[in-house]
Amino acid sequence: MDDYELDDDDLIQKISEKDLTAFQKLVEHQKAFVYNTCYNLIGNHQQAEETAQDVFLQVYKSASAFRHQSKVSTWLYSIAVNRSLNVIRRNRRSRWIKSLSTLEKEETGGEEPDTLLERKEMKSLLKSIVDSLPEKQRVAFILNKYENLSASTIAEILGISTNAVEVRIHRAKTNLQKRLTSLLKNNPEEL
Amino acid sequence: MNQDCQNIVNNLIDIVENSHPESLEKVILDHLALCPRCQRLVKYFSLGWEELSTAEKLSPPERFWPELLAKIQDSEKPQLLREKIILGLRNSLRPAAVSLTLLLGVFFGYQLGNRQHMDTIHTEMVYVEPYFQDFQDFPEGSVSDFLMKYEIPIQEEKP
Repeated sequence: MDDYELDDDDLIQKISEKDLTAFQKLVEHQKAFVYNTCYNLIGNHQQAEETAQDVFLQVYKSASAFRHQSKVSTWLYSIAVNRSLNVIRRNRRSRWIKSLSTLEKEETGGEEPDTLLERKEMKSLLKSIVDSLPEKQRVAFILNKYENLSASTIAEILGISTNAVEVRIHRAKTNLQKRLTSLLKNNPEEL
Repeated sequence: MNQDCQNIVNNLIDIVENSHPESLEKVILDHLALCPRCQRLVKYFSLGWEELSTAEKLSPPERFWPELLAKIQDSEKPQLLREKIILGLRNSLRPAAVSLTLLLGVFFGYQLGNRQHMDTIHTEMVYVEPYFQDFQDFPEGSVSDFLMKYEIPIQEEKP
């Protein structure tokens, strides 16, 4: 095993030569963020896991085609987003139902039961509203808000201009606000 | 829900992101100081909104790497076999395929050429009686027989 740490670019170079050790190292470094990106977009753990594996499979097969003109993480994001969108489009089930069915149980952490219930309800409400956004706005919003990526990085991932990304994020927030207003207006007991 | 509460609801995201218009700031703060329901709404919405970006990142299960490795090995095996088969077929069938294409081209070209000749003949048959090999074969008394026997008077050209 090498004593020095290889950066992601070096790992990709070795993977293009079908070095499985380097590939395993890359997977260990990046699997969490690829998996989370897929999960945030798809909303299902099983499918997110399969999609994340497909992302790395594609990386393994096409490592020699990587031009090193962008960061490896940007390239991984790009593949993860495209793959996830393919899965979403194939799925025919309602995103609303999926988002509610994939809620994870949270640890109580000593909070008051009422507070915890309200937090869980608010979190599930937000997730379901985000999941109901139009696809382009949803992707831009998730990458910006969930993954904390800048508009320029998102632009590079999606292959569009930074301005277009900012417009999509702004529209996503406007739509979220409209849906929140409508929801809270129809259910005043939420207040 | 009164108008002040509606203001809070209508600007919820801007409030938690601190991007609401300055003109509304005093109105919002004054109302939040007096309305416990709106205070609670803003508080829990803020927590939920913040959690979107700070939620703990999940890690895939332990089986992730072994399954991925199996997928890589599976993807490589059929590809080698498939490639060999395609290459073999290509090498052996290419000359035969070229020859067959040429023969088919000649055949269809011939058929097309014959078809046009038949169409011409058919057209002529619409306007005349059935075509006979020999002009003497026309049935006696038929129009064709009359026309064949009729002598067209020749007019002498005037100088």
